[in-house]
Amino acid sequence: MMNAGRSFSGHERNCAFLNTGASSEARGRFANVSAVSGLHFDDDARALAAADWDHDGDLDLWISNRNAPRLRFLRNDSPTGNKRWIGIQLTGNGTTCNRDAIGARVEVVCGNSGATTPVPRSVRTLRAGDGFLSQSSKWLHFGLGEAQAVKKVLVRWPDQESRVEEFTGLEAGKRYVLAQGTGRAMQAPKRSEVVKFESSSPVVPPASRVGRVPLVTLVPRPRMELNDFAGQPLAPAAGKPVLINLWASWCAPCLAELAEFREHAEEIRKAGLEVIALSVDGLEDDKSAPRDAARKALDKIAWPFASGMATAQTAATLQSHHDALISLNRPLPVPASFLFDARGRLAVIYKGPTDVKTVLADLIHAEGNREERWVRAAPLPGTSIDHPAIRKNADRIESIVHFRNGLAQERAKDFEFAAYHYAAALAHRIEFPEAHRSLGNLSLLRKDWPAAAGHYESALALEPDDPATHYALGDTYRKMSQFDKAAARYREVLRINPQHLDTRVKLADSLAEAGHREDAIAAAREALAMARTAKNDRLIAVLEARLRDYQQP
Amino acid sequence: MPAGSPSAEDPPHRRAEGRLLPWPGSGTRGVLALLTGWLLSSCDGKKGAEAGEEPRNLEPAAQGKSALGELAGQNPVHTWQKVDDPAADGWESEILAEQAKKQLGKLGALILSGKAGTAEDLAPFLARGFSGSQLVPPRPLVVFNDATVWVERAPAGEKGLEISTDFQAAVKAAAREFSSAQETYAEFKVVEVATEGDSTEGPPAFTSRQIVSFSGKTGEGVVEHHATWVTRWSQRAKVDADSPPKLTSLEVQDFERAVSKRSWFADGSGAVMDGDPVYSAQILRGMNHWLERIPYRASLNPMGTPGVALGDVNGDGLDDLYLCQEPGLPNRLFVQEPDGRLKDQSVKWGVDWLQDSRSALLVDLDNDGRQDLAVAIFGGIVVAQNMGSRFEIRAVLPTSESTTSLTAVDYDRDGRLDLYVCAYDQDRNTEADAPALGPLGGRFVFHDAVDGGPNTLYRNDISAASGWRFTDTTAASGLDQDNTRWSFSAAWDDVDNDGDPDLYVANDYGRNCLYRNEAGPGVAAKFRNIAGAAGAEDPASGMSAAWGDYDRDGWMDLYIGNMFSSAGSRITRQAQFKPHLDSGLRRTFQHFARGNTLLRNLARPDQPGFEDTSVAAAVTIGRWAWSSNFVDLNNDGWEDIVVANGYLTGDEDGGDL
Repeated sequence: MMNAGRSFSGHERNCAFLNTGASSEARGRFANVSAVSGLHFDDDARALAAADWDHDGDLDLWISNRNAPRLRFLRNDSPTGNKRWIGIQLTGNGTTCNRDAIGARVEVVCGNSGATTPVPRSVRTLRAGDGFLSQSSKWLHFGLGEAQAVKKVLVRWPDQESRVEEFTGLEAGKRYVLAQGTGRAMQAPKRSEVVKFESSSPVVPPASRVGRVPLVTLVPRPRMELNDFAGQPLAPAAGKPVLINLWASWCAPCLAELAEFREHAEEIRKAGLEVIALSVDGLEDDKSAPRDAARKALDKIAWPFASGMATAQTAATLQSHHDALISLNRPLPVPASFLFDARGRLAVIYKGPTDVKTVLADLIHAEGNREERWVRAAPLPGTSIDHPAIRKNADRIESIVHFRNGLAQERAKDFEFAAYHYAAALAHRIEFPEAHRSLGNLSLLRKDWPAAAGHYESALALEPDDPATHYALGDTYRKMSQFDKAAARYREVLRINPQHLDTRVKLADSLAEAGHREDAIAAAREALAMARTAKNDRLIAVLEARLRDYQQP
Repeated sequence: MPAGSPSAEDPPHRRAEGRLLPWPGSGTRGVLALLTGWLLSSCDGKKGAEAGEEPRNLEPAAQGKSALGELAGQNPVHTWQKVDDPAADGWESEILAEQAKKQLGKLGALILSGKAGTAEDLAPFLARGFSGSQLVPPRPLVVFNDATVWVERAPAGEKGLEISTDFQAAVKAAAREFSSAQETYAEFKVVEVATEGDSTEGPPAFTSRQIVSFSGKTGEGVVEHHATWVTRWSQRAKVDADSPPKLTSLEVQDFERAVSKRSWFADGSGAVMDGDPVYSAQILRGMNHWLERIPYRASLNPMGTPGVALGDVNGDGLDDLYLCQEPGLPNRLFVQEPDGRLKDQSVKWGVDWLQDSRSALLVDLDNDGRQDLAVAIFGGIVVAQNMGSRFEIRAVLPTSESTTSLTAVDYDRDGRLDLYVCAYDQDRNTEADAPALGPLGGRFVFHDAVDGGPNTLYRNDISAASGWRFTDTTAASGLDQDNTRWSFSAAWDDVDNDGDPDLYVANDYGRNCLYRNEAGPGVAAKFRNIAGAAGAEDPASGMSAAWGDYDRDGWMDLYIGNMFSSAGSRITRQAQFKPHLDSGLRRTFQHFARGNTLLRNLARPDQPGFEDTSVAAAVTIGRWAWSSNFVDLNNDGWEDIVVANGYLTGDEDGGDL
């Protein structure tokens, strides 16, 4: 769902609850003021940070979102009436106490004589980080209600002493800096200007699916059907970059794009780029275009490059590559183009129309190192931190990308490419037992038992408690007629998961195959007892037959 | 977007969607999958193998993952997956809830249209013999009234009217307020459905209970109504029946109305940001836009992690803002101009990092009076020193990969700020094809998961002699207890008023942690998780943690962001939900769906403890909550609450919890 860009608990409106503590009639129940507060945007909101941004004596809010706008500034315009406030910033001594005074406890004591008892206290702690992914201002803001005067401010500094320091002489409606050990509150300078806050809801531009995606992890061109209109295979020349373009005869932007390619045919040839235009007309049950519409459309513009019809396999292969490399797995639009470099590696994916200038400039994308590609792939300019720890993280991500591609290729039954990707997942010497195990599975398919055993053993060295790998290795050893070793693997499975009756049967079998008849009988009996407890009649029958077999001389 | 790239409209790709290039998972999920997405644990069909099947020859690559996966799933430690899986039962109630919601939605639209009232208008909703109460109490009690807002509620025990003609009057009375309102909004969250036995006489019936909200801008100002409607419906329609159910009774409970002359907050985003090109290029584009264009993915990216930190980087007395961005998008340092506007200076300050960032802090780490920068990224914390007009990276501290919230405190009170970062999932090589958040590891237990990534405490050992050094003291400080619980958020405060900082950590999929700092005279800081004894575990989908003294007794209380789920609420209240569960565990599941939690500090210095006041305080329904915090919105000195929420809004609507 997340990968497909669908809503899930989307359009939810932010909430605000008013503390009615001042009213006895409210009986401790907050009032729902989500609409009244004006905060009930239906954004996918995440972080929330408070500050008196405009220094007008109330808390404004910054809220960040997953969707657009990513950031909202919400200015507090509430009609606070006669209510007072005070703003306080702390400065620790920077030796025994941290300079920011994070962790300090501040209490504002007001002189509201004759108030009800007990007088509600005004206590705040200065924190760095709370809520979710948020850090609010280090200016502590105190609403004072209708209290007339501030009697004193008590600060408990966050050092070993935890001493409480008293500050006096502060007035409501002002901002003060309180430095540790001075006992004096310094009034902060008033800001001279504030922007005119015109309230306006941000206008988010319409969504567009047109996009160019240069890739960071380069993957080799998979085997896919590239056929001309006669159904004969097209063979792109080795050692040349290739652009595969998917288009449809009914798609106006496609035709405009092809015309532009044709117009710059000479430039494209000079750059050594091959272009293959594959029409998706008629794919699956699409009957919206006449059979020969694609060929006619190309003839009409005198298309100078290779062309043909995309098959379902071609389309599915390109889609699965897209999905393995890019987070949001929406169906590809048409046109869509895939640029492969001279070494046959997928370098750039274009969704929607692109143009010759962009494609030719992208011919260098696959060159250079991963860091350079990473910076080039960023849709907005930025800096990549160059640090060994971060390179290591990037290695991990790349290994994971390869592994994911391996799974995709395995699902597509291209086992050779799957094996390539699993091996690539291990290239950065990242601990990756899953890749070893997958390589083992592929070796098993090829009936290369020793290779399979080797991969499974490597997987178990990294992940000794994975029952599935022990199980597969046990099966592999049996294929290699190494029955004792097989039995040992099945025992490991049962150590981890004693309930797995399937394995118990295999254990008995492998013990019998190894010639340990007594052990086999014992194992089968144990399994039989468990099968009886589980009232599994089918297995009871199987095991009884096994026992009869074993007990025969 | 590269130069020369067309900004044309989308190509007519939609014609091709769904048949040309199908992709896995594009099919519609059943209603059950949607509603049970709330209980994410094992909806995607991972079932344990039936014990004792005929032994098979396993061809791993062919039968592959599923066969091997079954084996893993059969381990006894995994049996909780079955407990967590609500898909095992039939949920006719979900269809009833949908029908009730649809009917009430129509009724709500009628009310907001302001012209409701004829018998014909109401006929589709009312069964014969309908009895109902007033939708708006005629004699409300004013419970709060200051310059900012007027709040009134139904007096306790007021009962309503009994015949349908009066219901017309009731609807009219409710509609009156919104007759000329702008920006109206109605919402019905069905939180409980109960079917009545078929043995009773007459047509089968069911009852539902829903949270109801109306709001709009009227001549009086901004108005909102909130209430709980308890409804009984005439007919229990079949799954495929067209005829909607009709009301036989409606009782309004907990009515509340709030009115303010104007909205308290105005959206000033454009005013402070639109002068900067970053605003239109980056801020006005949502994650789905970027996720289609960025060739990278790691855990938590699709969810969005736009962490925000406020602090004064240039010492001009004005807060600046650092915004974290997902991989491939540059983080932004917005410096506040004298007039309050933002100016992007991330390049100038050297912090326009493209790395996968989650949360940041602007704090003075070296006590030189300048705000340094710490950013939790995938697998680490980047620590950068403020050089006056530029940041320079001093360290990248390794952490678990799926970092979330970052906090700073001087936990050992040596005068230097230490860093604590939360981690969600453990480092994984593979990602499960999960319906939503993706924690489908073999040992995952939805209601009490302990297989997340470890959180890390870094002690600040910066000194002139050793430079910018940090030491991992997670284990030495005792914070390695209960430390792999899928943490989203942490907040430090002094729970027992003894002067040293204690730590609360909000965890997804289960219990939260309250680490008490047991430092004393001559005793180094050492933490112990006392959440259980203190009544602070709040087992739920913890998303955020915040401290504040909401009752103004001088003791810090807690507000925890969770997930309110009306679907979860409906399911867990029915008899067929996990019939084999004991009542304690059943309550746990109900608690999971309840939403946000307010814990009142019991002010016990020797034995910290909390009372759960969430329901009485009516602050549970924060929806799919993320940052949930105390903010005094109206300067009366009493901490109010703001909840930033919403999970994923996409192009197509999916499940709404």
